[in-house]
Amino acid sequence: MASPDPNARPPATVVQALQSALAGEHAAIYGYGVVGAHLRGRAFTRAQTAYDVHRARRDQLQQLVVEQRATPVAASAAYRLPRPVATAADATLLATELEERLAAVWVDAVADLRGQLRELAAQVLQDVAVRAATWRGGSVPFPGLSEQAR
Amino acid sequence: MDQAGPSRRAVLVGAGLLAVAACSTGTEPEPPKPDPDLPIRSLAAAGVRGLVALYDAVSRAHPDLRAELAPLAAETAAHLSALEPPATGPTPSASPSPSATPSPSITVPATAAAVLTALVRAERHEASLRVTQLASASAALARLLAAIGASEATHATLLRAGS
Repeated sequence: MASPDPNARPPATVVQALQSALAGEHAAIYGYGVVGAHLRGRAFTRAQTAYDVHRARRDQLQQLVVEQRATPVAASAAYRLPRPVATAADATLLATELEERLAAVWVDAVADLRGQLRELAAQVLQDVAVRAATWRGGSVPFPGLSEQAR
Repeated sequence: MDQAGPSRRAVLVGAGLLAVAACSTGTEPEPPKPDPDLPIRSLAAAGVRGLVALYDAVSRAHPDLRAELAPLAAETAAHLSALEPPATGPTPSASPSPSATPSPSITVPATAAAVLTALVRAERHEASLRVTQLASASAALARLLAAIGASEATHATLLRAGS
């Protein structure tokens, strides 16, 4: 089959899918705090906008988890960065990776959710992929799909 | 008295036949169920095929844009490959390539700016269609359609930045 094989991971419940996405957004918010500290000008503005978008999405996800009668996962006290960030180039690469990781999280949410929540996840994935491409300066054929990556 | 009823042998043979019949109905292969993803997959593939044809037509009419559009056109072709069912039979080359089919209905704008605008609109339109198409798809197809839609949304943004 040409389609990707998602059978490697078991299906998650609605709450699990939302919590995974929420945990991913928590991590991205932390990461953008680091990113913004190393950027200036237009790039800083772009990071600031992304930070705000992810905070709004975190709030939305917390609300959705509460609607499922569950307690939203909290942010971790600290996150390990993939590598030290010292320059604007480091920060741009980190921002790209933050969005790419989120793309994988949200494509899983698409698979695990149904109905309006699935459509929401697909729309978020588009936003995340656009942000990743803007930082990266180019597109990828299958954002979020490691099994299709080349 | 022996003739009054069926012989023991006949009964045994009959019971054996029944068992064989029951066995054969039990193992008879059921007709394959129609894949519920198939119409969704076909619908998405038709939309992507339209984008492939548009990129082809634009590249022919505007050779100066070919290099800029090549990565996006290649990714769109990859989307189509992922959506189209694998070729059955030993001679997949027997079926004509869909991208080789000329599409005389496509009118390409005269200016580069208008071309980019048309591509942005087409990519964005298809990206929004993916969101509704994946609503009733299986988890596997939903992942694929979501990723393709995200790539198409990305194309629209990059094309707009280049226009």
